Amino acid sequence: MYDYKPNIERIIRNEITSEEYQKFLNILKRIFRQAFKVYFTLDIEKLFHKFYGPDYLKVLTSELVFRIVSKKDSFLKLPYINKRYLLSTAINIIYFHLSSGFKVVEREVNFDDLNLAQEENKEQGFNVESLLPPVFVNFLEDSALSHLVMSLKKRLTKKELETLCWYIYKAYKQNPKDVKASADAIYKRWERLKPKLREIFGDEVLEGTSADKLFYVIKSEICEKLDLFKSRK
Amino acid sequence: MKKPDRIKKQWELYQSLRGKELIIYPVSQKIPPKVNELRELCTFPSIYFALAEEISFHQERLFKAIVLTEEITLGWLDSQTPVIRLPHLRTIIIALPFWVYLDEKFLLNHTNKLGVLNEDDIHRLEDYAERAKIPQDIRGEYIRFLMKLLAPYNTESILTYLEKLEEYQFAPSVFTISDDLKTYYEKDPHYAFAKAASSKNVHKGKNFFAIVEKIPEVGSKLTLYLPQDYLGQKVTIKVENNVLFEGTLETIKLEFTNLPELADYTSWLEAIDVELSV
Repeated sequence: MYDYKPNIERIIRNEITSEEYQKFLNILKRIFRQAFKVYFTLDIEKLFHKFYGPDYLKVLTSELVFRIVSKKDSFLKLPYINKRYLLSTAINIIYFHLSSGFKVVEREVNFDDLNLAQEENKEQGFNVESLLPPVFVNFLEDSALSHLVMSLKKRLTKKELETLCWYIYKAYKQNPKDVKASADAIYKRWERLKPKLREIFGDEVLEGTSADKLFYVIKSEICEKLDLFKSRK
Repeated sequence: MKKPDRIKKQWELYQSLRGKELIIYPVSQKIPPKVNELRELCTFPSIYFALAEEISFHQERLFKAIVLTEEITLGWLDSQTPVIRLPHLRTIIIALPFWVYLDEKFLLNHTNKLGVLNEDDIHRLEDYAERAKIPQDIRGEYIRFLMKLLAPYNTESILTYLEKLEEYQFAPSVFTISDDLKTYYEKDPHYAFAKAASSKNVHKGKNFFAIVEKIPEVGSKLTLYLPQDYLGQKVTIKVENNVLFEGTLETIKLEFTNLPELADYTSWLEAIDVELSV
């Protein structure tokens, strides 16, 4: 994999030609495109377009360069810097902006300013964020739920999935009419399934407030697709 | 359309970057660590520490460090997960539900000081680390992987710290555990068959350090180090409800022999409780 460390060294030393710099920025734009596509969603990318305008990728690449220069000591210690290193950094920058509610103002990188800012910032104070924008929390919740649903599909048998769906339809007061087993038998199946679910979800999900959202995702992603309780002739 | 599993994708990317070992670099600017600081370990992907507590005996210092990460998708457990934004570095980090003990020298040589957190926020991070449960999915796998990666530095820090304490040459008080108690724990299935995820013989309790050494032909020996200000005070040391020692503390180093023979001492050490009697 291509090593970008020489490019980064030249940027830090301010020795890069504008042609090389432009080429490097184009590579970073491609990396951000990949980050949005694989690690986020189209809707999230649209939000960046909405708040930062059509040049949102340019804004983000400037931010990545800013970060590299701010953390130059750490970057220069690495034996090499390949595309994956930059991709991982790009993902964090997207989260950083998402968590700001898009209030981070676009700025051009000015290397002189940066050195001065670093001197002044020796005793920085940080806070645990008390209020995060819903878009940030919802995205992470959705990622966690999708992952849980994948785990369920992988770890539960078809019969167990049927039982889980029976319980969820019951919770939604959508009474399943044609279940093959008797109510008593399926209730026993549910009781047997509970410890396994508890192991997959953890206690908090089963009893916590996110259960509603989880049930909804299981219903749409598993139950409706299994077509379990469709009336039989 | 099939929904992508972003957590899995991020885990694959992380593994390809991290490899199996933690490669750390020395820092250029060494700043002595202090409580409430946020520091960054010189490695890639970065690992961050919030220093929650300083434990010091004489001149030796050890820090309780809550671990934080840049891997938001992998480390985020629920809406209670503490989030910290570092605007001057265009970085966002989140707390993980565990901590390690690191010695002053390790923090000085391998971590950069980024800034400070206020005490309330440090408590929030500590509460979260104690309370949050590690899930049984890829996120749990990631958290346990990081724990394992940091374990050598954690144990090494505690051992170095204990070795330094040894230099002060405290004369230990030596006690023999009764045969009844020894047999009791050897027969208790909870301890006899317990095997922890990461077997360790060093434990930092709320107010003590414990270490178990296996000495050939003699058996296992437990050494406890208690805080210096407990000297001369009445102390009770228990494992569950069974008293190991009760009396006035004459030295901060206590040794216990005739230990139950267990395959793994993790649970047993965690059951130790040291209390000041009023």
